[in-house]
Amino acid sequence: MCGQEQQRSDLARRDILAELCARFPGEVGEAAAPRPGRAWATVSREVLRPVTEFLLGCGPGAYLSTITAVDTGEEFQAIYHFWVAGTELNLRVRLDRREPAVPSIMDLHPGANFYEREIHDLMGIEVTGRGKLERLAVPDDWPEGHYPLRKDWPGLPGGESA
Amino acid sequence: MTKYNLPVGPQHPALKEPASFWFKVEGEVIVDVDIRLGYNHRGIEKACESRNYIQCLYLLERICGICSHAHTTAFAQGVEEILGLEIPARAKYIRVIIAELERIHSHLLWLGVAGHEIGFDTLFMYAWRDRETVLDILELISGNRVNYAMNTIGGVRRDIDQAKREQILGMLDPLAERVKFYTDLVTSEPTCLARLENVAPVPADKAVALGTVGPTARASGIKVDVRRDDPYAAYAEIPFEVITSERGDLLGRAIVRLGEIGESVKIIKYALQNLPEGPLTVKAPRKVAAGEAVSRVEAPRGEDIHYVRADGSDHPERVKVRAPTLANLFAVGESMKGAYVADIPIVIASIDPCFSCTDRMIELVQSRTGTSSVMTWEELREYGIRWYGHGHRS
Repeated sequence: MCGQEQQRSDLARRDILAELCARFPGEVGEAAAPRPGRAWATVSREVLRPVTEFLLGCGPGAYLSTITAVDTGEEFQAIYHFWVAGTELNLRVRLDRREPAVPSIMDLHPGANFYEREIHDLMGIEVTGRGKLERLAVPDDWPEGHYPLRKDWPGLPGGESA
Repeated sequence: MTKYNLPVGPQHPALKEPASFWFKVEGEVIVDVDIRLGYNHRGIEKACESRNYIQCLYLLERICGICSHAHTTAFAQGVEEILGLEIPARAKYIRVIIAELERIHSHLLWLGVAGHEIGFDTLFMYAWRDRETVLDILELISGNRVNYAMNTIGGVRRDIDQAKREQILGMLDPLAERVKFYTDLVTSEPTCLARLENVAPVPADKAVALGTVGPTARASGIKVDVRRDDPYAAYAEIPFEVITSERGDLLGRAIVRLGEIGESVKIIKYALQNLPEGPLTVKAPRKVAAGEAVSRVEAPRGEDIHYVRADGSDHPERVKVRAPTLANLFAVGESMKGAYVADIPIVIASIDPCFSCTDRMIELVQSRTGTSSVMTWEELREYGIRWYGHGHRS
């Protein structure tokens, strides 16, 4: 496990991607570090929670910057942007368009609350295991099943659209 | 004791993140908080998908009237990373100068708002008068007091010539003196201490777990600053201190912001005196090859993060923005548990959210009888000042 003895001010940049690959052999795909301070990796949603737990344990200051939801046309992606040990680790979870769902990590990191609600409101990605997803970004009277950031969103009934 | 629900907001739909807070109160003490956002979600991310990169830059500049340069810097850096563009050294320095002027502008604005919320309007007027110095400098450089439009993909759009540099350097020293005065004032003046000291503290572990950023995190002893931790533009070459406080309370946030103004003045002076010669831009292609990048900037309120995904056309496939207020709002809500109703205005203002200049309706609903009364934000502010004026918690 990662050392907890680090001071919060410690800036030692570790090879967090290598540590992640070593800790979860065979589970981490598309690992890339295009430049210092940036790393990318893809994991399945089945290991998202243990990976999150591992990353947040890597230094006392580790946190989730945000979650980006992407619609590539073929699939959805949820990208979890973690700031951990001097690297922005972008953890991609690929999701089938027919069943876009990720497990909640809110119990591991309360700061994920708003970001999970946001990817549900705008991209229609279900977040399981955290109870009802209260609306955050869209109005209370926004029609069900309308996810404006999806590429195939037809606009609101009645004409208003992007 | 009877519990009340106390809704605060939503309010004036002019800003990025208007918010509604639902407080559950027992007597004067807040026992629970719920936050609702999105009243003015403008769909900027979606709108970017149907605009070219330059148009996106101008749209993203308008996410916020104060940290407009932070957003365009974050976006431009992301696009430049996908393109593999290295912008000229002079452009990097000018980006830093504008960013630090923007930080001083934002922090002085905050100081004034904080003064106003605690009934110290003299501080408000002083701080905003001194803020004019920074706005004058920004106007001198860019022609605009806000929304400076300095960034473009591949560099910056305007130079700072020798005459302007000398003029600006002459304006900075008096400003640094004023900031020393404010620091002494905030840490010794009885009104400031009564309203800021030990109010709604966020301990360090909670600040991390709730994902706080910027001065809000640094005031809880978390030494996190994108400029130092993940240097961009010219920050790796410019000496400066990351200001922190172990206090965690509102006074800590004031001390951190004031300290940061002093550091910003130093950074600007260094950058002006060491401005590299050379061009302002490198040519950027109109179309961006497929790729993606994550760009981070230390905005005045904390980490501003942009995700940009390009598909080879002249407009982005996806732009994602997370402004710092979203990261800090949740923590401020949690920190209010145990605080007093009279503290609501200053605690919300303490993270410097983007909705301080608005008129809000406060509805007090008594849960047992269903009766309700309505107060405006102004009345709630006056209530808080009166409540402390009558010697509560003294």
